[in-house]
Amino acid sequence: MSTFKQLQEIMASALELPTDAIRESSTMEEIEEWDSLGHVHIMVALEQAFDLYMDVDDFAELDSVPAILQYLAAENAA
Amino acid sequence: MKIPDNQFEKLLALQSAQEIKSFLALRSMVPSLQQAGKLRQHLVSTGMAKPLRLGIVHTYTSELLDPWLHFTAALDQLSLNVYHAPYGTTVQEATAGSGLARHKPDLTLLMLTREDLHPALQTPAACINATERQEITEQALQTLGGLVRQFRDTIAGHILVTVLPAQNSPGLGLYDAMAEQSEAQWWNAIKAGIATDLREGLSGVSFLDMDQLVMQVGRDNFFDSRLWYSSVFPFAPDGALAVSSAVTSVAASLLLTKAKVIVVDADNTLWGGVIGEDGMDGIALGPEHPGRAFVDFQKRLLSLQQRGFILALCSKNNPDDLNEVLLNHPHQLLKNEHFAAQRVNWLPKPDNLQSIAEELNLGLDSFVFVDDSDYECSAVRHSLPEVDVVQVPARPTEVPVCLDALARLEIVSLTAEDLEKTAMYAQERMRRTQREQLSNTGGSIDDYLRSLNMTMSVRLDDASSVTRLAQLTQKTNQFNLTTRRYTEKELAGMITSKRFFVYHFSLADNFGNSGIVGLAIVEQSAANTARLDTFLMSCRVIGRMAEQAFLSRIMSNLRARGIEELSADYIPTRKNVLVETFLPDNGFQETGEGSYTTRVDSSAGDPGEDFPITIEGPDQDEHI
Repeated sequence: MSTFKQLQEIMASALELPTDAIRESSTMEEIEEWDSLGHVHIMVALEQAFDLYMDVDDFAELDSVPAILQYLAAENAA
Repeated sequence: MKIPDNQFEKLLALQSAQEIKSFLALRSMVPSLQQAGKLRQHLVSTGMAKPLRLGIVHTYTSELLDPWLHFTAALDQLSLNVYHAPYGTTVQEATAGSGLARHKPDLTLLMLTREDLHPALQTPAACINATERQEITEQALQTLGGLVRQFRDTIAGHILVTVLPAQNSPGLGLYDAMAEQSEAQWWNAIKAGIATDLREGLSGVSFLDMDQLVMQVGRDNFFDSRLWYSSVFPFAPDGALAVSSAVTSVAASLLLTKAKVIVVDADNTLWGGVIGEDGMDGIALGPEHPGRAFVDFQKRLLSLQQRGFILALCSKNNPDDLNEVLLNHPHQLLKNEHFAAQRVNWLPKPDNLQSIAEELNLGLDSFVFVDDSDYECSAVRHSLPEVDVVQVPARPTEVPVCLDALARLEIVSLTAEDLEKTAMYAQERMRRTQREQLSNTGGSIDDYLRSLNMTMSVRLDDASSVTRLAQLTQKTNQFNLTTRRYTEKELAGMITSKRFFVYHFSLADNFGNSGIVGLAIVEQSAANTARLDTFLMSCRVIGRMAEQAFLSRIMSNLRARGIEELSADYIPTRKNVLVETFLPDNGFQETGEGSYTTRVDSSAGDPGEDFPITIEGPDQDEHI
């Protein structure tokens, strides 16, 4: 499964949305359910799915699908 | 740690919430957030769920718990509808028009911090001397008691109080255990005070000790300092799951049909191996592995008995072989007197369960069946779907905790009756023997009843028994005219109300005292008329004319209060056909579908005289 597909499933599950609501270009601003609570759920789910330990100061910057994908690539998590 | 994929596939193949829950519990597996979401969807599609309305009042972020709460609710066969009070409001929610009140919660969860109880509880404590501690403790208890009382007075449903445990080790570090100024010891004393205040002063309120949950998953796995400092949410995923699981378990024990009986198999359940083949020396039961696990499981069963559950034994064995273990095995803890009923024979287990249900006068939906065999478990699941089936794990090391995950075995109160229940069933066995002996020598039922020397003690508006009375309305299904369920709070309200008369009785005889086994609630509708709202009796005193004696004493008490007419109704359920004709049999005239009435002043004769029971009370001044 591509990293995006994995991310799509994780985010859809965390935000309780259908998978196709998450697009490769989605940002926190566009998706109503992606609020500050939803964001914490995405971060926790990412850590568990990719076996990561994330710095809390990075949370705020990971506010779009491209930003998260870039982060995962940099962490060699994908 | 998330569950490995191969194990997760196995989980998704399981059909019942019960099986999924034990699978997770036995392997100490914690699903990831994503896995919890998938499991929840799977559970929602397979099972029937009962709605749970949860209200949360919190002084730290609680909304992030939601996915975990939805998941553990689904595991407990509940469908969750949760309300979070606005951040920073507590007492404001304890008002009739608040969001919380409008949510009509079945359960209100108070999530407080130590600081909420007293600011000093969040500061280094080594310099606070004993006198100051005493003062701080008293103030903290007063603050909490006052807050909880406000919720109790304004919000219906059960209340669950929690206080967030310390996120860090004590100020004095490892030396705390030795220190005169120990923070841990002080906190334990405060918790004991909270428990005492809630238990003795308030009904329908429980305290959930989160420290136990910290011990279960470990402090490092329970808290996440990143989320605490960034979002004021203290819990790491394992902690969030542990908290959610405890909360929904309490809800399940309040909302689901109460479990009452645990029926256990013997071979590979109470001990390892098969007594008929391996013999006394061959079965695994004793201080060596694997026998120790089975000794521990028996201890666990004894604890469950002390929680108020009745134990019964159902085993395919030669009775002599099995009895030999019960009587003479040096490490067998469960003896004949611990089992309220026994079926040791070669009949199909579903038949045996049915006959145990008849003997104990309890519904099969209050049964938990514990057996190691695939065959027996599926036979019972198939023929008696209302019975909760727990399969004993094949690995002895997993056996001792195999009943721990069952929410229906959690309790929110413990009464004297609970502690003595099995003894009461043992007394009932002795009564049966006496009855058979009398019958063999030509004695009548009346001779038998008179030989028991029964004394009934009737009490009116007895606030000290409110826990037991609420429990009776919750648990009694068969001998119950209206099956109206009441919480402790509702009953406490009726007891203090002038309009309601709450009668209960207990019954003593040569063999023992039954404790409180009958309840009647009468509502006065006018100066000379009243309505029988509730009339119920525990099945363990059926067949002793106690119901007639109780009704007759209530009638004479009402007559003395000027009541001339008593109306009553019979609301049929799947289970209360036993009392279908109780009202007409006792002089009530039918006035409509299920509605009855009787003249109170026309009841003939001196009540008490016709019964093989001496009736005492109620004292006339008991009505508040």
